[in-house]
Amino acid sequence: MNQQAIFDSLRQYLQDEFPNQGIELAGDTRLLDEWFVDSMGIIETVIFIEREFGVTMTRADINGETFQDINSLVAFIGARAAS
Amino acid sequence: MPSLLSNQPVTDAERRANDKHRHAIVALALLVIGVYVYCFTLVSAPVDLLPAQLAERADLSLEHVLDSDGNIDSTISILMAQEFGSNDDERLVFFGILALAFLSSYYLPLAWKQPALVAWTTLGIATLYGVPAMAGLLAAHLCVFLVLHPGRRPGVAALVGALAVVVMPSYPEGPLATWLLLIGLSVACALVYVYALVPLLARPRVARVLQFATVHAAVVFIGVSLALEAFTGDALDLSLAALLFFWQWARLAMYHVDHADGQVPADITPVGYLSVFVSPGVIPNWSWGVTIGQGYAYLQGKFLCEDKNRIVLAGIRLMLIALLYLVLWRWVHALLVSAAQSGGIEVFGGYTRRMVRAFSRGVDVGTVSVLATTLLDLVRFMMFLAGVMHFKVAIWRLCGYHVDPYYDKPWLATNLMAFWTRFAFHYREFLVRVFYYPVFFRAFRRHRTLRIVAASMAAAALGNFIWHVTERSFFREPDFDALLYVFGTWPYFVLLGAGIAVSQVFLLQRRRTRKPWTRDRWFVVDVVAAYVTMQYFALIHIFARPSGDATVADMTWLFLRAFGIEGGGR
Repeated sequence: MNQQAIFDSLRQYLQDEFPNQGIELAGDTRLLDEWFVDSMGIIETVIFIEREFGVTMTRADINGETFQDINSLVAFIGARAAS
Repeated sequence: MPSLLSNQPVTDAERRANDKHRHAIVALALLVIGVYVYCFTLVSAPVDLLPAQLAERADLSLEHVLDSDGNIDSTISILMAQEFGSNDDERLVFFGILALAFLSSYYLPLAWKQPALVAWTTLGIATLYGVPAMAGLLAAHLCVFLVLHPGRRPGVAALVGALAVVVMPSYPEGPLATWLLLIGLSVACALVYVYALVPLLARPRVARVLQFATVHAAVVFIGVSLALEAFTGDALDLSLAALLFFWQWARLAMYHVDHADGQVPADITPVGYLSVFVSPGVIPNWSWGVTIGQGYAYLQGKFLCEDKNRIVLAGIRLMLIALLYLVLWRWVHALLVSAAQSGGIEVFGGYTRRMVRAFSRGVDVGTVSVLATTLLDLVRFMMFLAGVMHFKVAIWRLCGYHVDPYYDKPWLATNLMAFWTRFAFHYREFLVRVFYYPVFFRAFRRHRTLRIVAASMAAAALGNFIWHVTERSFFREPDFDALLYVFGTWPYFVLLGAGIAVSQVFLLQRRRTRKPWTRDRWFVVDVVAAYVTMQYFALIHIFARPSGDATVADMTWLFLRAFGIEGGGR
């Protein structure tokens, strides 16, 4: 799966599962500040990423850098899939 | 919406921009605090204007609203305060401290706001609980600070020694001996810290163990006390200072998670640390929702994160909503019970515990009775909780923290997972971050369903259970009786954990196609789902309300009667 496909899939998922009226979800939208409501939202996204892209996430990956925005998540998935 | 895991702390420049005064907002906040003072204290007694006297003049009947001394019966309590004779006076002191803390945090320059909140709360705790209790609480917290943030801080360690002297039940005779003790203990603490503890904390493994034991001292204490009781027959006594400190176990655990995640700055000051734990919101009803405010990262992300007048207004609004619940919850409950009884349904006064007791004594209880009684008891609990929690969140907001609601219309939840979030948001966050995350990222990684079930059970069953053990232990001494009482309610924790796990697995297996409560043909399904969710949560409380000599078997049969399955009883 290429980076654009990962981006599109993630964006669609986040919009469907955590609808935030009035905010346009872009690649640089700050997910932890403007999108997720609570810690369970993170868990659901981890499950989605692991299922959809076949990568494994650890507790240490739940941080501000990885979850900064969709772009950083796409980069993380790409790097983890390649390793 | 700002998230709980925000990685974008509010800068001081942003806070200064949000720190614009509006005196009308201040007047409004003080007016609302004044209404609370009028309703819940006896301040109007000298001029014969108590709520009961006003109601009498207006020929109003306020049954289930007023208490015996003429003001409004309140569930805002200042627990275990020993310096005053009545909770009315304790509330008056608290409201005074709240007003002063609010004014200080509103008008003082940014650098002084949080220190002022710590100072007023310290004064409030000293007034309500006594100077030794306050000193002990501060000393305990400074110990945690020194262990979590090791460095050359001999001054802070010396302060711990000085505070320890204040806590002592008796002093040596003469002022010279007392001063010598104070100086000696302060110097000894500083030396031990710098030359023994700091080198130990430099070893990562030792540091991890020491930090874990310090943060979880409350749970460690229960374990030690139970072990001692097993050998000697006597449980350990607990000072008020230790009790106040242990009650912040959940908040300490959240701080520890933030610390482990690198979200607490290495150069945090003692006052910066104390601002998490010593704030006006921790004083009233501290047995309820102790995790409000959560850890360091959350609070810092919420402090003056937007125009402070909007934050204070949001607090005022919540105080008014809380007032409605606090004043009317008993009356509404009585009204609902009366309506059910008029309809020929036995609801045992709307108390599950009374129904459990009656059933265990041989009273026949039908399906409708079980459903109605448990639901009425839950409605009572929800209204009570709403009043207390909205009030506590409002206090944080008056002090400049835009804390999320603890309680957010749980009756709109269409599954147990959502109900848990809406019913006790900050408590759930504590359970998720401290219990759910560690299990989720370690156990059953290759089996998604098992992984979710294990993590849900760790949080909703085990974590919830441990918290309730601490709650029970610290109110009734940490002994085997307290432990046995909570063990007797184990089916409640298992059924809650199982229900949450099932709803989470179900939700994750399908993609969201519509938002609940959309006005379409599925609206009725939302109504039914919301009822079933609340009813399930109400029913499992049969196991959380043991009464008399009711056994787990009795409670199980009563639970099954809700589904029309007859059996049990005596």
